[in-house]
This record gives sequence, C-alpha cells and structure tokens, in this order.
Amino acid sequence: MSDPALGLLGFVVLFVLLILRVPVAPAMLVTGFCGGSLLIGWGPMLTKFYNDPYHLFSSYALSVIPFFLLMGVFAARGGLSADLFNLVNSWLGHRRGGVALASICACAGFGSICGSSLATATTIGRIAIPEMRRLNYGSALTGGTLAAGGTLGILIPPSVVLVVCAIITEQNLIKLFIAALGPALVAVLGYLGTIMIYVRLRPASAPTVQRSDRALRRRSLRSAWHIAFIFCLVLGGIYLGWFTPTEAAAIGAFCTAVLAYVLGRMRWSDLIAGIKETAVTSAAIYLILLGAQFFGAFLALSGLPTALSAWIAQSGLTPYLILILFLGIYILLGCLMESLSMLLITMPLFFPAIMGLDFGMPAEELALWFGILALVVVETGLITPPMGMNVLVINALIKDAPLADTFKGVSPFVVADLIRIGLLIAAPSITLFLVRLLW
Amino acid sequence: MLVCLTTTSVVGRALFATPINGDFEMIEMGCALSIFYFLPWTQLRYGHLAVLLPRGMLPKPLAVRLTAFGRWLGDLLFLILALLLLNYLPRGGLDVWASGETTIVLGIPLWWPYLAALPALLALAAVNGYCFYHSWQALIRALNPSSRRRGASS
Repeated sequence: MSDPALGLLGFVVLFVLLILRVPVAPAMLVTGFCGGSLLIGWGPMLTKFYNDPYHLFSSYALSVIPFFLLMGVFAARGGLSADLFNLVNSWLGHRRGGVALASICACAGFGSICGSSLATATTIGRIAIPEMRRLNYGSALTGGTLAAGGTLGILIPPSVVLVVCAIITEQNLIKLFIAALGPALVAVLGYLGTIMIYVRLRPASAPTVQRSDRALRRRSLRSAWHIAFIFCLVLGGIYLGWFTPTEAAAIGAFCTAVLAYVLGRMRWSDLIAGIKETAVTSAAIYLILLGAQFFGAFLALSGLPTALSAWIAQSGLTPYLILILFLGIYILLGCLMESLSMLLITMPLFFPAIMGLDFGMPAEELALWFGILALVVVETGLITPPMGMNVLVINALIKDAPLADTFKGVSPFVVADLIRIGLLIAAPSITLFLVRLLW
Repeated sequence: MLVCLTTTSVVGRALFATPINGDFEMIEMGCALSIFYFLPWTQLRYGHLAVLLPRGMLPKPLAVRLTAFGRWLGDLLFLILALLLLNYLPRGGLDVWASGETTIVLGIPLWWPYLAALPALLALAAVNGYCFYHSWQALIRALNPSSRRRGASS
C-alpha cells in the first residue's frame, strides 16, 4: 500500500473509532501512533513519548487556554450575564421581537469575555428564556435565537478555538483575534436582521411590550460597564503590547473573579466549582492536542497532504471551487462533530492544500482568512441537525418544546450563516481590513 | 490538584504585577504540571470530548451494547495511553537529566518537572485501570442479557 493511501486509511479508522464513541483524544493518538509505526517503525514513534507530552503541556502559547477558560467560567458563574441582558433588554425590549434582539446582543457581549459557545448559549439562555417565555414569545423563536446567539461565543475573541486555530496554522494570535472582529460584527447584524424579518413574517411569535423608562435604562447602563471594561482591558492590553495573551487571560480571569465576588454574585463554593470545571476541561483539551500532534505527525509522514495538493494542482479546479469544497466538508462534519476536534483532525490536511493555492493575496492574509472562514463554518455546525450541540442544550433549557421545534426555529439563522459565509468568501476584506489597517 | 491550579494562577497573577525574571518559565512548568495532575481527574469525571451520534433510530439493545462497547474501547485506549506515558516519560526525564539541560533564565534543571509529574502519571494509570475494569464489567453486563434473548447478534 502506498503511503498516502495509508494516510487515508488512517482517516477511515479514526472515523470508525469516533462513530463508536471513543473519545477524540485517544482515538487520534492511537490511530496516529499505529499509522506512524507502520511507516517508520515502533522505535521512533515511541521516542515521541519521551519528551513530546511535556513539551506540549508546558508550551507557553497554549497556557493561554486554561486562563481564558477560567475567565469564561467565572463570568458565567458570576452573574455578569444578568446585568448585560438587563442592559440590552431595557434598550431594545420594547421593539417587535425586542427581547430576541436583546438576547443576540447579550450573547455577543458575553462572547467578548467567554470563549465557548455552549457556555454563552446556556448562560444567556438561563436569563433570556424565562423572560421570553413570560412574554409569550414563540418557543421556536426563543430556542433558535439563543442557539444561534451562542455561536457568537467562539467567533468573538477571546475564544479557545481561535487560540487553537492560531497555533495549528502558525499565525499570530493577536492578528487572528483582530481578524475575527469584522466577521463577528457581520454575524451579529445578520442574526439581528434574521429576527426582524422573522417577526415581521410571524408577528404572533413576538408580542410587543411596554418600553422601560429612562431612569431604568440609565441604571442598567451603569451596572454593565464591567464587561466592557474587562473586554477592553484584555484585548486592548494584548494589542497595545502591555502584556502577552497568557498574561492578559490571567488578568482577565482575575478581574472577572474579583468583580463577581465584590458584586456578591459569586461565593467561595462557586469559585472552587469554577476552578474544578476549568481543570477538567483544560485537561481534556490538552489531551486532544496531544492526540492531534501524533495524528498530525502520522499524516505528514504519510505524505497525504502533499498528495492532496498535487492532486488539486492536477485537477485544474479553480481555487475558489476547492475552497468551497473544503468548507462543504466542514459543514458536513460539523453536523456530527464538536468544533475543536474537527479543526484539529482536518487542518493538517486542508491547511497546506489551501496555502498552496493562489487566491491573489499574501500567504499570511490567506492563512488568517481561511482560519476565520473555517471557524465560521464549523460554528454553523453547532446549530445544524442532527447534532447541533447548542440546539440540544438550549432545547433542554426551554423544557416544554419538542426538539424539532427548536431546530425549526434555528433554521432561519442557519440560512443567515450560509449567506454570511458566502459574503466572507466573496469579500475577504471583511476579515482582513482591520488587520491591514492596524499593521 | 486543585491547589496546584490555584497556586499556579495566583502566583502567575502576582508575578505579572512586577517584572520577575523567569515568570514565563514558571508558568510553563506550572501549567505542564497542573495539566498532568488534572488528567487522572478528568478521566475519573469522564470529561472527555467525544462525537455523539444520535442513536435514536437504532434498536435499543443494539444501542446499549454499542455504547458499552465504545466506552470499553475508549477506556482500553486510554489505559494503553496511560501506560505508554508512564513507561516513556521518565525515560525522557532521564535523557534530560543526563544532558543536564536547564531552563534558560532560572537555570532550573529540566528533570525536576519530569520527576514531579511522575506521581500524576501513576495516578493516571491507576485511574485508567480502574475505569477500564469497570467498563469491561459494564460491557459484559450489556452483552449478556440481550444475547440470551435474541442470540449472538452482537
């Protein structure tokens, strides 16, 4: 069997393992290890165990992950989300579909300090869903809004997936963060537009409510300044070079914890529980990264990426067609898989292939652009059936709605996502203009 | 384990306020060690990420058996992984010890963290062995009653 074919076989074995519900980390590691051993023998692969795990776990670039996770967990447990929701709700709530619009904005705001989609969806959901149900919003609209809003969590920096994306594509993390801002804005506007059209077509699903008075609005504005403060401190600090991303994340986590504690929303037990949660999640992520390292090494040894690039060059397909093909594969995979593992499995294969194509832009911009595109597409997978994680979680929060209802409610947002992907492909400058402006 | 993370982050934060030489190295080391110590605990809580395909359309006994099998296979692979780590990481540590490598700023010998990670690896192997034993029992339980009822169709 030729080496690239072995690489392909590796993929097949990996997917069979995953379908059997073997956790992603050992599946990747063992597949990569066995495949690599077939290619270069057991000895060299075993020596990878000598130092690689320690080097990976002690990587300074990766140390940002636990800290960002901690920050998100503290923000979620610290009740900062309630202030945020009250703020946007008091300003937007009186419009038609206003609470839905407010939920999207709250998700966006919360996403700016939390890097996880599920956490964003559930945290805002816990506050927004009861409110929307109380006002007789349709359950499909309620579920759809929050499931879609949650996906903003990984797009808006800081985000764990973005960190991993930056590491596997070897891009500057700060540039990738900045590059994500434009598409994130487009995403928010797209979702808001979707809701406005939806409630215009189905007025029954979103009754109007009384506008809250000015004093209340002003008060809510004052109580939500801290989220803006933390976001600006963290991102601004990184950008201006005050501190490294890791330090920024640590400071962000610290500030969030202090704020939540001072505001009396977080007790000591919450703090401990938050740290425990972070510990479990970060260990799981690091383990997957270790697996990905072995799998990636195996793929590189098998020469499959090179073979793929060569095949693409031969096939005579245009770069954009290839790009759309890859993104299509992402959408399909995204229906089944969680975003981080999916990117880690496919990037060693897709990224070199894309980098070999000519899109008429410098290599660095291409890498940023493709990274963001992949992220956006993967994130769409969070709200598509059969395994839209966000939809499942939100549906569990709504309680009285069937799952099909929530999936129906989220479908307009999927359409918005697809339009947005098209837009980002057609106009790379949405992603790149801030980067070009600042560097 | 917990104390480990808390101290890492607290020490980390305290360090940021004043420029102290080698804070990078301390973060790296602390981070690596905490991750090593979190591993067995994650396994115990089964906090791993996996692909969750819907099993609704499958007949229930088959779904139950498949789930048990997947869990068993996963735990088996984890056990292998833990044993490999336990077996080979110390050798990496010996290499580092023999070469006398130290960190650049602080000059801490690099074999320290390797040695410190050793108990974590032992714990990981123990926890994985325990989990594997359990999922094996569960697999046998899942296979037996149904195979009696509808023959060996697993």
